[in-house]
Amino acid sequence: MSELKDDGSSVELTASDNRLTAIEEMSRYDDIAVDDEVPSSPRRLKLYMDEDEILGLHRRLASRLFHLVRKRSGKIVPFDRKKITTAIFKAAQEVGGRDQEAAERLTDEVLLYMYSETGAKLPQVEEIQDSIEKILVERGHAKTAKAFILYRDKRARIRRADINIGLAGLEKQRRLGLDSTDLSLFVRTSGDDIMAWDREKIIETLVREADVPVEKAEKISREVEDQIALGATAVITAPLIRELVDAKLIEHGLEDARRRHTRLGVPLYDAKRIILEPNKENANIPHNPEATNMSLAEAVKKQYALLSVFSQEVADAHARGDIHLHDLGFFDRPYCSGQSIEYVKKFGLSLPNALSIAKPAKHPEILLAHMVKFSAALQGHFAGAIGWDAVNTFFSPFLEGMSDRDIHQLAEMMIFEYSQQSVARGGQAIFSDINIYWETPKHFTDVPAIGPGGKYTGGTYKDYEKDSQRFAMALFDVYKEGDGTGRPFFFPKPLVHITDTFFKTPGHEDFLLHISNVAADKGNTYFVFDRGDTAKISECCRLSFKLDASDLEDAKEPWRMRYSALQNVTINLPRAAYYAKGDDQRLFEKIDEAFELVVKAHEQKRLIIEKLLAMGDAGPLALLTMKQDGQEYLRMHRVTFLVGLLGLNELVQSHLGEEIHESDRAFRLALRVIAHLKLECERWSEKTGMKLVLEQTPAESAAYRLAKLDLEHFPSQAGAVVKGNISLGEVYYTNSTFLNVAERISPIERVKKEGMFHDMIEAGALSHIWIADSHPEKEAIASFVKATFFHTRNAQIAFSPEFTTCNVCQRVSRGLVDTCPYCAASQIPGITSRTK
Amino acid sequence: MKLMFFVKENCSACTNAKEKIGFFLKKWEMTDTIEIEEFDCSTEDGLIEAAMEGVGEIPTIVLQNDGTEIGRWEKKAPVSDELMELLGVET
Repeated sequence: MSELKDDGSSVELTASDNRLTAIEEMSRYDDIAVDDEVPSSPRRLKLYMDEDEILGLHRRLASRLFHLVRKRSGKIVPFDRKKITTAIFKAAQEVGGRDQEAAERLTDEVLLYMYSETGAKLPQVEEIQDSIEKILVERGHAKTAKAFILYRDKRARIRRADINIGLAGLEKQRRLGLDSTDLSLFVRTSGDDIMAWDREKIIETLVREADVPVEKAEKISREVEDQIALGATAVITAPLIRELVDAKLIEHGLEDARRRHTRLGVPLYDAKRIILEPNKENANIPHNPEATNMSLAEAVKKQYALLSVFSQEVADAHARGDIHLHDLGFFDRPYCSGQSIEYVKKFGLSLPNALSIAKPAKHPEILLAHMVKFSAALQGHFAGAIGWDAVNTFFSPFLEGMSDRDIHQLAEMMIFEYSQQSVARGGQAIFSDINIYWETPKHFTDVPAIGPGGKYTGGTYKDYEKDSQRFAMALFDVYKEGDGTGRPFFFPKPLVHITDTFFKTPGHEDFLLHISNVAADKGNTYFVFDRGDTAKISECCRLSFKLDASDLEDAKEPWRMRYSALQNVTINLPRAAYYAKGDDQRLFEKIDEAFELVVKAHEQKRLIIEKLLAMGDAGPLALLTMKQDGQEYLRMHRVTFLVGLLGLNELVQSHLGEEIHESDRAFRLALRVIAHLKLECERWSEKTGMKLVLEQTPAESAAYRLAKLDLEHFPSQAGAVVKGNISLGEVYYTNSTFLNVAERISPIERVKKEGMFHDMIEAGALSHIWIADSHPEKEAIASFVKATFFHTRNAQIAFSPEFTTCNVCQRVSRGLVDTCPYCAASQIPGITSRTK
Repeated sequence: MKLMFFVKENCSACTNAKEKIGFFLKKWEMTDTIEIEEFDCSTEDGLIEAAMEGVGEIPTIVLQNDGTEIGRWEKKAPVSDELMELLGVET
């Protein structure tokens, strides 16, 4: 609607303009404010109640009609009739009115009118204001109605100004003395805009986010406003207001509310450091914008996890260092995933929310592309490793008829694709493992082979064993060559399964020598020992899943074989010894206390993952809910919950004064602790329905973090046992159940003794053989592997050499050197030692 | 000589193995000459001994002569002829 002006132009009339025009018209005849006599209604009914009784009835009825109200922002807050009365009375005061009771009566009428119009529907602020206008006009309070409409319009303009007006304009208004609170202070919000100060927002936020009673929120908001008013600032940030409010919540003893109301983020100093400096804590994370995005997001998510996912008891135990919650920044995804390429071969690449869908591959290169892309997608949904079972076996139907040269090319593609993809978790390579068998694994021998196009070939996997072996050989040819400069590949990690059948399968001698050569030269090979009837799928550096009877049933349709651990929580074992002070009974009591916290942490993790999965396609874990084979990709009923171990050696050392390797007594105590924990796993599994299993803790950062915390909290006890250099702050606990890595213990003795723990560590264990700059003969490595298989209970071994990469000529030499043996560059700026 | 049984409660294979060996030891009148130790692997002590003896399966039966292992059976009972020979039972 527009109005014609005197100069012939027209202006748009707003809704309030139109309403005011009508009011002005009416006011000429009826200029009565609230305190004036209300014109009597000719239609008033005669009732057998006096007027006070009727009004009282109105009041009681009206006061019970509404309990909540929806604000403009959509927030729902408790309904407060006083606000209506105040608005009417203030409008009346503007035009000289003074009758508070009249305002109360009009309030009753407003409420009864609203109820007659909309019933019990949740009222909105605008609807209430419309109703006030209507009642004021209909009851003849034209002047008051006009004042109310003008006030309402002013507030609407201010709200629009919040959005449209710039800081300069607002400050100008402030300088000009337009000094209502609304205009004298501005708030820079976290939503990238600037708004006029509005104390109501504090109240709304406290009620909505922190469940603070309205009256208390009102009081706190006033206190914060007073505090801010004491300063001379013109602009304040929303985060600072939140912190001031938090401080008030503490003063009022509302700690729970403060936790719910708190703000997450990182200090400016930390953000700058993350953006400008390389990540020193994780060598796998590159330094690029994606990585810094991840680090910043991870910092916030860690805080969220500790505040909102885990209970205060669990979060505090982590913060104190009694336990260590791994991958807190990835709390909204499971830990790791092991699966079969059969899933990709059978179903192609069809991911939720993908822009395109691929049918099952018909060529090996395409199968590889599907596998790598699926790995990248999975990495976005798991915090840890992505493992693939029997890769050479399942590729074999695609390799029939290919030349050795082409198979080598395919092997090169696989390893380079995995090692060079910087697509996962802040530009990292995919943390990938490929499991390799020389023989056809016995549980797949008679399984019908799936070939190109997702169709059965008519043969079984045993029929393709030769091609499978050619591919296995080719993969290790590539590992032996290394990358373009001869450096070892970090990913995918090759896990070779050594079984009883391995030693009965023709050609195993040559293959063992080949993979032993790679182990001696580059250190890539992981030797996984599956003795007797044991069959395992392994992933990460040591995590493995033993296949039980139902798994072996699944093996008939291998795409069903998907395994996941939901989370890893590590127990700080040395701390139990510090608490116990030499008392055996107390030692195990403290271990049990820590274990119970681990169980609670797992229950809480399970809840959040179940909640996210329940959101299905619309949720963040949609990929894990897809049901291509009738079951969700993440089979929650099969997941395991890992109980990590750290510092067993230091526990024993602190409790007995001897390290594990130093006496039979110390060794037996170490065994007793692990046996006790294994039985605790069984006991709690039965009690909670979660499959709890022990795992060697893979994260070196936990070994450092917990040692450092213990030096702070238990300086004398921890100082006596932590390893490393205390004066330089480079301290650590011996990882999991390892013997002291710095001790000169013969490799076979180390592998044998460490292996004695492995049967009790169901989710995977490993021994490292540190070969540093030596280069053992491949025959020696092969003999060592055989001896380990036949004469120990060790579950997995790997050989760890050291390398230096010259940053001048890019050549790689063995051992840690100060001068490059190739180009004689000294003071090599970058030394890369390879660790596992 | 010593026979070591690594077993668990509610393990029928364990019970069968123990009963079979017990039957033959009685038959060969060797119950007094063969020392028998049983380790329950659902206890800490049983698990510790299993680890010390390199036992990873239940049941496992280990036969030692003067501390040296001369026979081991995993997830099964020994065939009587084999056991008889190792125990030096004359027919």
